[in-house]
Amino acid sequence: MAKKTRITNKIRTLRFLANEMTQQQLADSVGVTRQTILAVENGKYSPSLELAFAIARVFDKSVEEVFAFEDE
Amino acid sequence: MNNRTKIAILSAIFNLIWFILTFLWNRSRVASLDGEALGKTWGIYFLVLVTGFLVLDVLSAILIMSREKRSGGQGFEEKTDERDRHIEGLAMKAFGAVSFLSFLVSAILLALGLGLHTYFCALALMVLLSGLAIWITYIIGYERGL
Repeated sequence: MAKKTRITNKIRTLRFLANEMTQQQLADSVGVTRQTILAVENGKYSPSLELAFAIARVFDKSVEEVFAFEDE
Repeated sequence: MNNRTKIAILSAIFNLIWFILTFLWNRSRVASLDGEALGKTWGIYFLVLVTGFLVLDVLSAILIMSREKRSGGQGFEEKTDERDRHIEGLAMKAFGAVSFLSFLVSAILLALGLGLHTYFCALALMVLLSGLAIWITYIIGYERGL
């Protein structure tokens, strides 16, 4: 079973709203692999602050609008 | 499944097979040896073991990436990013921790007077376990998340 991080995100929804942007397109925009975007979306990897800002910038949102920290 | 997971699985299997084969080969060579000759024979064994591991790891990567390239993927041009570096860092930590613990166990066995043969066997196992620690970290990191 996949271990979830405490960082949740709305990347999948935002991709859908951005003309159904593919994971590969987002990955190319922020300079990572598609597997990393998939891992972030599924909560299997917490992105660095730099990557989080880059992803938020692609959707023209703030980091808090894309990512949230889940309380225990 | 991630290509790096496939490489890790293949490398782990190759390493395990190589370890068993070389260990059996070496067992008959060291059976009647003692002292300096024993150390020298084990030294040659370790060189063969580690060289084999390195060659098999490269071979695993070539096999998986060539297959990936043939099926339309990026193959060796596949780039690495921060997640890869994160997992690589954790794999190196796991390697260091397992190496240290295994060496400690080997030294304890030697201190307990179990003999040079047992010490070298434990060291050989240490080499295998340290290598496996890297591949297991890769598999967990890419498939389960770390």
